[in-house]
Amino acid sequence: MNTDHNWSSLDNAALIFPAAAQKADTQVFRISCELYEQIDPVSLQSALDETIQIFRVYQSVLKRGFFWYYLENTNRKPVVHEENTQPCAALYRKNSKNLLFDVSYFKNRINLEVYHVLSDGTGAMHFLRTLITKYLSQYHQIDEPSLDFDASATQMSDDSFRKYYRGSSRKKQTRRVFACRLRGHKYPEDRLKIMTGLIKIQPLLDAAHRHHTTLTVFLAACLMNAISETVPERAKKRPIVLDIPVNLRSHFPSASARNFFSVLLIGYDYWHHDGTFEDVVKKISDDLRVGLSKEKLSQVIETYSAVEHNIFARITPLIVKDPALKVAYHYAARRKTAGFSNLGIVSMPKELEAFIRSFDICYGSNQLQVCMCSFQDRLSISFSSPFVSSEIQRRFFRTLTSMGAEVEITTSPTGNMKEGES
Amino acid sequence: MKYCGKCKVSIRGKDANCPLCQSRLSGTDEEELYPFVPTIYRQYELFFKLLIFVTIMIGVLCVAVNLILPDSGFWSLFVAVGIGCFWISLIYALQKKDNIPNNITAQVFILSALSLGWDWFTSWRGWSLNYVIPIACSVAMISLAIIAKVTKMPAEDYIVYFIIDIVFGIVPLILYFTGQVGFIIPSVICISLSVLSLSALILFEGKNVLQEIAKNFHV
Repeated sequence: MNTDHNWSSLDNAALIFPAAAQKADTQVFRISCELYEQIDPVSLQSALDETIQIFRVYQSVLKRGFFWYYLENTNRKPVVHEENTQPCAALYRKNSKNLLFDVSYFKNRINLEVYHVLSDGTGAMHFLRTLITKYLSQYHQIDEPSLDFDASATQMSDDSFRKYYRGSSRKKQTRRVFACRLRGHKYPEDRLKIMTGLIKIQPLLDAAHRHHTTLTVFLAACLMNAISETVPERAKKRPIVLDIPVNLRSHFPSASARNFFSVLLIGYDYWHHDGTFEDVVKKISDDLRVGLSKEKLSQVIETYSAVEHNIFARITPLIVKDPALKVAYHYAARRKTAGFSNLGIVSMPKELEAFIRSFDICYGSNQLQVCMCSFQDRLSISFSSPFVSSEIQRRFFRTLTSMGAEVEITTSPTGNMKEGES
Repeated sequence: MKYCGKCKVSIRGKDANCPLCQSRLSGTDEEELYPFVPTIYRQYELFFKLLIFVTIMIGVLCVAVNLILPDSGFWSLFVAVGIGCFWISLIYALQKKDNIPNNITAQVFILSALSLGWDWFTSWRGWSLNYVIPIACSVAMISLAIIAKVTKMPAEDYIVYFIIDIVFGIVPLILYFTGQVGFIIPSVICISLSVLSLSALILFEGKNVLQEIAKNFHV
């Protein structure tokens, strides 16, 4: 409600994150960009210094007030450094006032890690694209091309949930059942295994069109079937539910660089239905069509925001609110089996495309999370998982290769433990 | 680039086995794509284990000696409670080690509460109100002011705690007027410091104070 020059309250989607952050669920996502050449730290730092001037909202620290958390502007400067942590390691630490994002590099790769309180994937992608554009044009001494993205400082720091909340009386949300949960041995120290597959997009598109559907639905169905084949039979008494974030910017005009997304829970009940690929595809695309209608989405904004605007929620001290939000977060987590998010096509200025090999994105949570984005003719699909077993990944990628896709896999190291030794 | 014939996927990096099916890969090694991150070694773990063990040892030793010499009274109980108080204070200090203003303020409260408890259970002589509380408040205010100036701490990082310290510094005033204070010198010093700090804060940081309050108490 207050956005003056010095501080701002958290946006609606961010409210729940700080309460529930923990070592195993860092809520940090990483977007990486791999170039064809080594990264030069000096140019990267100067590009970052320029980028932060545009994205001032990123130069904030998270603080606890008496009633709510808030973001406070700071003079702390971001410093690029060589990658020295696990992917998606925690960025927010209580009691220490550090920035909520981090830029690092390793050989040919630039990583931007962002705490979800600050921004969602789309907002962070704008940041990274700006950074890469500035870096490449400085390093190669070309005139800086302009990006297809235009927003004033106010627009970028805008809380779009507040903008589109009408305060109309909300309808009762349908109760959701608990979902089938993945279980298994996990890596020590809450490490995550990040497995990224880089795939030529055309064979996938052809396969999706053969099933008369879109790429997102097709891949979601592949993932759902891979999960269904992996989990024990009796676990499927509960539906397998994918948590699919929806970028609200494409439905409600907004240029916010902060959070503006909602999630759809798309489930399939393998216990009562036959689980053929056609049927799963049909169920997912039907659910998505309903869920993505404008009325449904504004209903979701109303429901989310109503909680925040509720007078009792507002005047409850944070010390009471925090544990309650934590419980709500874990309760909500039981309604999904895995996360599946598609950031869509990443576009870069034509003259810079030749320097860039790929973009990829992954998210640190304590469940299986699949994130994807595409650049030029290739799609990158990243599985981040705390589990040692990679059966779901194997089934998923083998499904794709059986359809003639060429897959190239990169895996982050997870210490000495190999599968099967646990 | 390496290749897994069973999964029909290319694998980047140096892995000998396929990350999907664990069968052997063909092809040549590539450069590492991720840095090696060593497992986090808990740096001070041994030190704290030793510290805990030493305090347990002292406690057990005192109780044992006390049991052997029962005529000397229940003095070992004080040692045990003292050890408990030491750990309460230390654990809190370690948890908040990155936020010094918060830590100072919290220590004042912990120290005040513990001293009141001690005083109460040891036939109330009033030393907690006479000495501990006013001295702790004064030290907190002075040290916070010095630390903030020396480390050039931004106003928003310490003002809230400074206000809390000042308000807590008013407590000796109430005690003074209600006649709870026997030896008044520490209380008078503490109250004067509070008033001085408050006027300095309003005069020099008035705008920041208002902003801090708006931030901290927005609903």
